[in-house]
Amino acid sequence: MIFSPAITRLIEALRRLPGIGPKTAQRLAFFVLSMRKEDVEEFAHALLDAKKRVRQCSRCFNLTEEEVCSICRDPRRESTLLCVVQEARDIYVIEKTGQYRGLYFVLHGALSPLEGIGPEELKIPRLLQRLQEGEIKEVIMATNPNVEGDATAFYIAESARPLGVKVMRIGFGLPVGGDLEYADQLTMSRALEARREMF
Amino acid sequence: MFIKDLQLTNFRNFRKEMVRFKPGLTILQGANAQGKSNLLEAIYHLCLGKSFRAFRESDMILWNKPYYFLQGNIVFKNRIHKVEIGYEVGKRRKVCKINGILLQKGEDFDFCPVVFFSPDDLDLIKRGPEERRGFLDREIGQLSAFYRDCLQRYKKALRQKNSLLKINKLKKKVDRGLFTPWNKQIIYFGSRILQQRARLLSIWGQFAAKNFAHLFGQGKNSTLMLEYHPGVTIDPEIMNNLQEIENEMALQIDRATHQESEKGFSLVGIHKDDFTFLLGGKEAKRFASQGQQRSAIISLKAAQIQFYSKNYEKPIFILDDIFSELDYTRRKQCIALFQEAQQIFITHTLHEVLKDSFLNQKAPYSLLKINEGRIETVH
Repeated sequence: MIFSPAITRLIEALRRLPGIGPKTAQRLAFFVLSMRKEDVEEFAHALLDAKKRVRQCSRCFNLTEEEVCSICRDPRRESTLLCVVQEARDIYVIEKTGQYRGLYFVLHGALSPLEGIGPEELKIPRLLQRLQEGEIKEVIMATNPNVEGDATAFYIAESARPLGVKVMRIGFGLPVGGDLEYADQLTMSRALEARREMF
Repeated sequence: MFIKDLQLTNFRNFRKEMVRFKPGLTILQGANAQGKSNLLEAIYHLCLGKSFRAFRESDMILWNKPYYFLQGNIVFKNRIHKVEIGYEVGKRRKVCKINGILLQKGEDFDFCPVVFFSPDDLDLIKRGPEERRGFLDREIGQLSAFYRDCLQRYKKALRQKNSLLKINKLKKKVDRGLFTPWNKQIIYFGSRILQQRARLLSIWGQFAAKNFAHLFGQGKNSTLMLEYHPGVTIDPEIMNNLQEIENEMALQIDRATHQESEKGFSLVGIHKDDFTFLLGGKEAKRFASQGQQRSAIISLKAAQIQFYSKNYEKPIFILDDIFSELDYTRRKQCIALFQEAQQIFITHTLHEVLKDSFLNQKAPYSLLKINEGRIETVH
């Protein structure tokens, strides 16, 4: 099927979004074309406006519309505790628990020499600078539990050690509410390694 | 474990065939290129969810058809399991169901003891270390999801490290500290892989040595040994101590730092592992005859059968076109070694050649004739 140039352009634009295949892109494009003109304008405006306003927090690199994000500005948060995550969206996962009262730091990725990503490509130098300032006493590494995430956590832990900051890794183990028999063996063996005394 | 029945639809050269099997021996007879190996492939596929030779799923579809479908019943751990596997060209999606439950992507087939033997297995002696590491990874991976997991992560960490070494050599000096996080994981996963490889090679080796002696009699020149040569030198004394293996690995990787950065790739680790077949203390690859090499491999395959039988369940044994090359006495002796398998499939162009050997064992057997993609049960 041949679409007009404008429709083709719209389909191609939609396809650049993650999780959108050719069929979904077509469906979305035709839906957009069936919308009222004002609604489409509002939609386009929302895209542009978000892109224009949202930027990285100068303290933690979380996404924000201010110079410093609301978490960094919150005086009730524990300013000696820092949780390091790969992506800004990870903050929302942790915030939803309502359990964490410290600050965050977003790396915007993980180390991966294969993709040309070293510490300089991430916010690691900025993180070390922040740790050098001395206010942070404890860092929790909450990068993903895969090869790249683990490597990133190791690297930061090694670099932070001379600064006298305590570096912790989030616990890996069994999903709460699950049965032991459903755990895969790597998870199980790591959970055994990270065993702790009963409280 | 054994297969009760199998339905093939558009699989290789089978349009629509249904065949029943019994435990014990089944001989598949037919001229060349009639579909004997294709049927073995279907049997293997049904048990393990993958082929032993196809690179692409679409390779297994009958010419010009849009899909293939396999369905069969396997008796495993005293229960009948219904397995269904299909692949559709248009959807490019493979669907596997066990007892009606759809397997999710990445979910593994439950462990099934199957040993496969083809003339290509002689490459295990003749060819390079890569072949032998491939064998270890396939066979141990079949036993342990933990091993597969460790191996996958090891390879990832190694690729990342090699990429750093390459940048370091060709572009710009890389800070030493950047290597540590990858080395740490190479050591963590590598030590666990090494321990498993050492353990299984030692167990298989003991069974294989007995089997080889059975084929050749006791004697100085008829001892078979499997000798493990890890890419990191480890004293056999500490093989049970993971912590010490890790320490030793770290030490040797550290010592190779200079050499590795000169070469631009990683030199120390389990990706350099190998093992040798020793006959009477000499390397079989260089000193053994064709016949001895073949017998060494047969001894190893029989060892795997015995290992499964002792530790899990009597396995299915699949032999593709291997017996034709053995003489009559050797064949009879081999069959005694394979007794621990619950079900054996053998292909042959002339079943008379095999009949004598097996009838002398007083064991009943089934005979299937395969002709141009049709399967006929003779008895």
